Order: sequence, then structure tokens, then C-alpha cells
Amino acid sequence: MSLKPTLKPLLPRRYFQLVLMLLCWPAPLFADNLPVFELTLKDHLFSPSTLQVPAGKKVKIIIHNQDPNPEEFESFSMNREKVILGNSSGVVFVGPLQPGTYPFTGEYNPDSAKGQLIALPEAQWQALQAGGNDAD
Amino acid sequence: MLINTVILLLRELLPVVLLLSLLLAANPAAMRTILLRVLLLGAPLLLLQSSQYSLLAELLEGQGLEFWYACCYSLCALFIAALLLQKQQHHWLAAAAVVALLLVNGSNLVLYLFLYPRQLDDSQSLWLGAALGSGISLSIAVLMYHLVLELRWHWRQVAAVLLCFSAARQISAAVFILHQMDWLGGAAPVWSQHLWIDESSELGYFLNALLGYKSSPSQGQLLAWSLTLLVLLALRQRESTS
Repeated sequence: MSLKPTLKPLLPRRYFQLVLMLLCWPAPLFADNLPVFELTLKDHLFSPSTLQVPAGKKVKIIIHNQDPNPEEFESFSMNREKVILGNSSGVVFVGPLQPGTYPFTGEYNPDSAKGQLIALPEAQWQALQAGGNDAD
Repeated sequence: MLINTVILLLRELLPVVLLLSLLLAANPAAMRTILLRVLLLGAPLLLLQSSQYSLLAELLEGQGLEFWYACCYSLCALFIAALLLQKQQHHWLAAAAVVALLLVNGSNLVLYLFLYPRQLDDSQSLWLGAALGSGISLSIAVLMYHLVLELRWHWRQVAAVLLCFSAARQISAAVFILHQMDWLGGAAPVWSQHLWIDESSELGYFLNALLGYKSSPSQGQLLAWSLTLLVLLALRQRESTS
């Protein structure tokens, strides 16, 4: 007679089906048409320190860590954190955000590596884009 | 440097030691066994993972590390759920649950403490901060362990209920990562409670580590957390009455 305890079936199949059904509402797996923004981290400083993005839309932020040391991009208000190894890049998807200011920091060097992301309402975003196009 | 290190240690170590304290409080007789298995399993796996950071980070178009973390969180929740629904204690499951979480939180600590070259003065502050942060986290875990043991005299299911919350926390953390990778929808925040309990405060860290508290949870996180908690509580209730 085997004395080894046997594991019962873990969870009912219906639980997994329900979870998958409720969690898989429309979301692009590979979003190629999102606005893309770039942040550079060098000498423990983010550049630009203020990033303006459109409110109400999901955006893609590419963070280039040009320092040799890893850094953790973190923002409690945007609910995002990501470790980016030295001399490498990382991608963070953010939003859709309400209009407002969202601070972020480099967790490993919070005194110097900090910035803010400003989500602009549609009208202001369009005006900013138009101003940029006029300058070109 | 000192304060930053204390906060980082607190944030990364507290979830692991709190989970360990709950598992040990649920099965005090197996403390030495579980601790030994966590050490035997966790140390080599953490070292192996640390040696492969760059490789992992480059997979899946730079999102390999996050995908791996989401898998670890999910495995942790799965192991906790398996423990809750078994009548007999499985010490390897308990150890595996802690190790799965250790691989996520421990990797950040390894990166910060060991893979980050510093000046000598900064190193002294770093290790002092690490000692303080570890001490605070372990103290809280020991207090939680004894509190749960005491509460068990009045309410036998307290450890199991808190483990349900812990499993829900891990699932919520996995969903958080999938939002960040844009692999899952429902990333818009449901509310913001920064004015009530700030997630970056000491109480916020503790509530996040124990229950998965988020001051700005997304729809997906809230749904996953609630669903996991309700299902596990219901299944646990059914298991305990059968």
C-alpha cells in the first residue's frame, strides 16, 4: 500500500474557464499603432524630465538606460515599475491616463533620477502637436 | 542611499517573509523542514536566475524578464491554492510557493545589492541599510507569525484565510505585469486612493505585501484579485466542511 499522499485535482475546470473569459476582453497582443515616446537615462538623470502624452490613450514608452548600472523605473501614480539593465532598453505600456501629472523615479537613485509625465487633454495635445508641426 | 536601501529592502523582502510566516503559522511543526527546503531550493535557483538576467531580459522583445516574473507570481498563487485545498500538508509545496515569490523579489535585491558597483562610502551605507531593512522585515514577519498563532486559538481558519489573500495578491501582481507588457486589457485605473493610504507609505507597503493593496488598481487587477479571493475562500470552506 502506498503511503505517499496524492494530490487532489487542483481547481475545478470551470474556474479557469471563467477567469480566462473575464480577463480576455479586447486587448491587442502586439500593439503597433500606439503613440511611442522615448526616455533616456544617463548619469542617473532622465531626459526629458517632463514627458507630455495624450490623455485617454494607451502609450508606449521606451526607456534607454545609457548608464552601466541597472535602474528601476517606477511610478506609483501610473502603477508601473520595471527594472532596466545597464546599457539596455526597456518598454513600458502606460495608460489610458486621466489628464494630470504623474511623477516617476529611478528607484535605485531617487534623488537624481526623477521626472514627470503630463497627460494632456485632447485639445491641448492637438495644440501641442500643431505647434510642433508649425515649428517644423 | 541608507534610507533608499531600507525602503527597497522593506518593499522586496517583506512580501516573501510575510508569506513564509503565514505558511509556518499554518504548520508550526514543520518550520525547520520548510525553512530548509526554501534554502535548498531557493538559493541555487536565485543564483541561476541572476546569472541569466541579460538573456532573460532580451527574450520576447525585451519583456522576457517580466514574463518570467508573471509566471513566478502565478506559480506562487497556484502552489498556495494547492496547499489550501489539500487535507494533508505538503512541505515541498509550501517551500515552492516561497521560492517562486523569492525569484521575483529576490532578483531585485540581487540586482541592487550585488550587481551595482559603488564607491566604498556608499557600500557602507548600502549594507547598513540592508541590515536595517532586513531587520524590520523579519521583525514584522515574526510578529505576524505569533499573531496568527494566537488568533488560531479563537479562529482556526485565520492562517488559511490570510493565505487566500496572499494568493490573490500574487495573481494581482501577475496581472499588473501583464498590463505593463500590454498583454492584457483593462489597464485603466478604477480609482486612486493616494489620499487615503498611499501605496508608498509604510502602511501601504505592509498592506501590499500582505493583501496585495494597490492605491490605484486597474480593472484587471481588481477583478483578478476579487475572483481569486472569492473562489479560494469558497473552495476552502467547502474543503473544510467536507
